[in-house]
Amino acid sequence: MQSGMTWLKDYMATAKSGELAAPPSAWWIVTRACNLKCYYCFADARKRDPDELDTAGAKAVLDDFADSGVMFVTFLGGEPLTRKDIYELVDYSTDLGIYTALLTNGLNVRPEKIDKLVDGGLEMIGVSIDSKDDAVHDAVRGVAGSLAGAKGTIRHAIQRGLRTSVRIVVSEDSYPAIPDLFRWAIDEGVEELILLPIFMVGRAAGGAEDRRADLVGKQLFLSTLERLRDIGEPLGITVPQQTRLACPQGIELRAPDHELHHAGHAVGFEQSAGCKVGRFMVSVQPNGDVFSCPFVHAKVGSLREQSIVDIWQAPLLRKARAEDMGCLARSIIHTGRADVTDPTYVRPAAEMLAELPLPGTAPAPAPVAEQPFFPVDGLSLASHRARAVTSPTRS
Amino acid sequence: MRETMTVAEAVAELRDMLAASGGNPTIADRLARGSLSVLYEFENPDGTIEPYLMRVRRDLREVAPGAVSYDEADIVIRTEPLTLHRLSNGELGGREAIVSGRLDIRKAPSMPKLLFMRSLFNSYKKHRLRTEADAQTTPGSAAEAAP
Ligand SMILES: C[S@@+](CC[C@H](N)C(=O)[O-])C[C@H]1O[C@@H](n2cnc3c(N)ncnc32)[C@H](O)[C@@H]1O
Repeated sequence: MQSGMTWLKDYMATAKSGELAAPPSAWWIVTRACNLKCYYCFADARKRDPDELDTAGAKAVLDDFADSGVMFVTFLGGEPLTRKDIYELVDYSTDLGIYTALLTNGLNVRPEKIDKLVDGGLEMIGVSIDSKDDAVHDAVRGVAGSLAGAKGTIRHAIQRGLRTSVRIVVSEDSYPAIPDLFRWAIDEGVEELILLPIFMVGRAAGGAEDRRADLVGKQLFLSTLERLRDIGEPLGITVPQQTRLACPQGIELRAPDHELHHAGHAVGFEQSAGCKVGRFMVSVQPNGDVFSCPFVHAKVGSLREQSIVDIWQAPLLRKARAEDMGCLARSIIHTGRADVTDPTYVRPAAEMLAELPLPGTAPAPAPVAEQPFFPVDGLSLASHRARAVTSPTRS
Repeated sequence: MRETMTVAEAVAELRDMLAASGGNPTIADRLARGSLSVLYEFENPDGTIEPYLMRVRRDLREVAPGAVSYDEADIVIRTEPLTLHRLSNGELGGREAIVSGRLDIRKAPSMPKLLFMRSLFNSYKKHRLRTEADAQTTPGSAAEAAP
């Protein structure tokens, strides 16, 4: 049986060439309300936006997605489970035939909540974890007990037969123990690990060294992939490598001889190489505004006024389809504009780092043992705490 | 978990799925705006093919034996009856079925039509989950009565 596979490959190829009528996938920040306080939150999640789409408005967006052929919707936030109608939205979305996933931090997620999501037809749950160590994870995420919640959520989801992914942000805090987390996820039966570089946007942005933090964070991310490749290889797990882009990377935790290998995540977009802007995804804001990617904070339309099919033709998305511009989030971080090529994509990091002035006059501290980086403002909780103390503009 | 399934049983499940979808307002709403025709080419263990056409629109929900030309169907699927059963009860995801070679999409649908087909499968899966859960909590049901 070959043609089914051919169809899937054709679909991916058509998406990659940007020829689909609508994005295959939407990452939807359904609320900015959150019960955690992660220092790096790209969504700057705290409390609900006053203009958040209500249930009827959100269902109208899902109707538009189904009519337009948007196959995958991932509800995120903020914490999507703080929305009372989230179960209704999941149920509605799966009734429309949309492959529906949800990301959660796992805090206060009692088993009944997962049962309700399963009842609503949820097809995948992603849980964010930054360390196997409670002290580190809970400090990074700002609330005690959050790691216990995340682990409990994963276990119950697996027990209920729900597909699971663990999502790790590569920071100075998480970097040392990522291999442990990788092994833990395999042992627990998690299907996929998603590794995310830390993007200097939202709450992560605004430090003295955003550009440096981005460059070093990118190196940390790329080196983490290499480290995981070495661990994965003997276990039969393929860890895709990236060299220039540093875009969130999905790693299938099933061995290649497993009959369902590469079947875990929606359609493997996070396993596909290259920038997904204008090809694979958009990001929806709580009020229905559309950004080209969760990390590219450049509005390309509004679902309150337009169909996703029209928004998909926005000039920025067309440009991203026509040119290989690197990561548009980094274009903004380094130039302030989304519609120019990402400088870190075309220039060596070392060269760019050398050009950046060191903050203050203090000499750069030596790298900590086993960590191939100098501490950089923006890449760790400690640096954010220091910012809060030294900068009067920060609360 | 079932190990085998006949074409007749798979067709009965498809009919049950269509009947169950009658109570779903989201599907009714979609049907008011469109239609779907799926040609299933069921593979028997001896390699022979048994075609069935599923047609769904506002005034019709049926699965009938016989083939049509590929042009006349929105989607053409070749599969074993057991795979369809495993898809409709959630044991197997659509992507897994395709990747593992158990589900052969011989005519690619438009994305909205594919979503419509998934909508029927999803709502049936949920309907069965809920019916099972109800049966387990209803006093005097088989699950309760078992020693
Ligand atoms: C914003 S959270 C929302 C969903 C949910 N509350 C959670 O914790 O997973 C979505 C994902 O983005 C990640 N994330 C947050 N800020 C980020 C940043 N600046 N760079 C990269 N990933 C980030 C989180 O760790 C999480 O995996």
